Amino acid sequence: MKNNDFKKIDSLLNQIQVKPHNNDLEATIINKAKKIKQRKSFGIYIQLLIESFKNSLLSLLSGFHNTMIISPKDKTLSISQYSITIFVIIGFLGGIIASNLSIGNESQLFFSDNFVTEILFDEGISL
Amino acid sequence: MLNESKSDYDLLKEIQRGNHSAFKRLVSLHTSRSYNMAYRYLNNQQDAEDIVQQAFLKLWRNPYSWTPGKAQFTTWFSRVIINLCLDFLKTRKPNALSLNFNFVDKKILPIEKMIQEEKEILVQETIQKLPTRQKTALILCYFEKFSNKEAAIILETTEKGVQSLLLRAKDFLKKQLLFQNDNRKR
Repeated sequence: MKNNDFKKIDSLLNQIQVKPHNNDLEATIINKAKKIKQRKSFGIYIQLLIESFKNSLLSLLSGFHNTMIISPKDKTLSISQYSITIFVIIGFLGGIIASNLSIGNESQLFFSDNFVTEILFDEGISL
Repeated sequence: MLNESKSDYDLLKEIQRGNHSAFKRLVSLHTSRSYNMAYRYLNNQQDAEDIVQQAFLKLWRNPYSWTPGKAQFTTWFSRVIINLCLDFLKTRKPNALSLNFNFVDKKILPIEKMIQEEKEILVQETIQKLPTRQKTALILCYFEKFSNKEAAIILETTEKGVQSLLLRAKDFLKKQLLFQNDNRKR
C-alpha cells in the first residue's frame, strides 16, 4: 500500500467527530447507583427481618409442640402451624405495602409501586 | 472526602466497601472515554450512553468482577464496554435506522461544510462495515490511543496481531472508500 493512501485514510479518520454525550449522563449513572444501594440495604434489612421472624416463629412453634394436638413424632408443620406462619408473613408484607402507600401522596411516594416485589426479586428472597 | 489523586485501584477498593463517593469519582474519570469508545462502536449517541450506563451499574452491582493484578482497570473496563457493544449489536435489528445523523438544512451551509459532513458519514459507515476485531483494534489504537500492548490484552492477542489487524483495517477502509469514490465519479 502506498504511504500516500495511508495518509489519506489517516486524515479521513482524523476528521470524524464524536457527538458529545448528554451533560446529565454522569448524574444519571450516579443516581441509579444510589437507588440500587438503597434497595440493596432495604432488601438486606427485610431479609434479616424475615430470618428473625422465621427463627422466632419456629422457636415459638417448637414451644407449642407438646401442647398442640399433633403427634410429637410428626416433625413437619401441622395445618394450624402452617396457617399461623402464612398469616404472620402475609400480615408482615401487608404492613410494609400499606406503610409504603401511606408514606405520602401519589406524587411523593417514597418507593415505587412495585418496590417490594423488585426487592424480593433482586435479592432472591424466598418465603 | 476522597483524595483527587486516588488511583483506580484505590477507588475500586472503596467501591467494594460500598462507598458511593468513590463510585462517583470513578464515573467522572471514565465516562468520557467509555462513551467515546461505545459511540465509535455503535455510531449512535443514545445507544452509546445506554452502554456506558450499563457498564458502570454492572460494576456497582458487582464490584468484585474486576480482579486487581490481572489487568489495569481501564483495560478491563474497555473490554466490558466492547463486550456490551457486541452484545447490543447482536440484538439490534439489522435494518434499524440510525437516527444519529444531523439532518441539517443544506441550503444554509457552505458547500465545503456539506462535502465535509458527507465525507464524515461515509467514513463512519465504512468503519461500521469493518470486521469486529479490526474495528475494535482501530477504535482502541487509533481513536482511544491505547498502546498496542494494551490493545493486545483487550483483544486477547499479541502486539503483532494488533498491528496486523490495524493494517488490514486500513486496507479495508482504503479499498471501500476508493470504491465508493469511483462509484461517485461515474
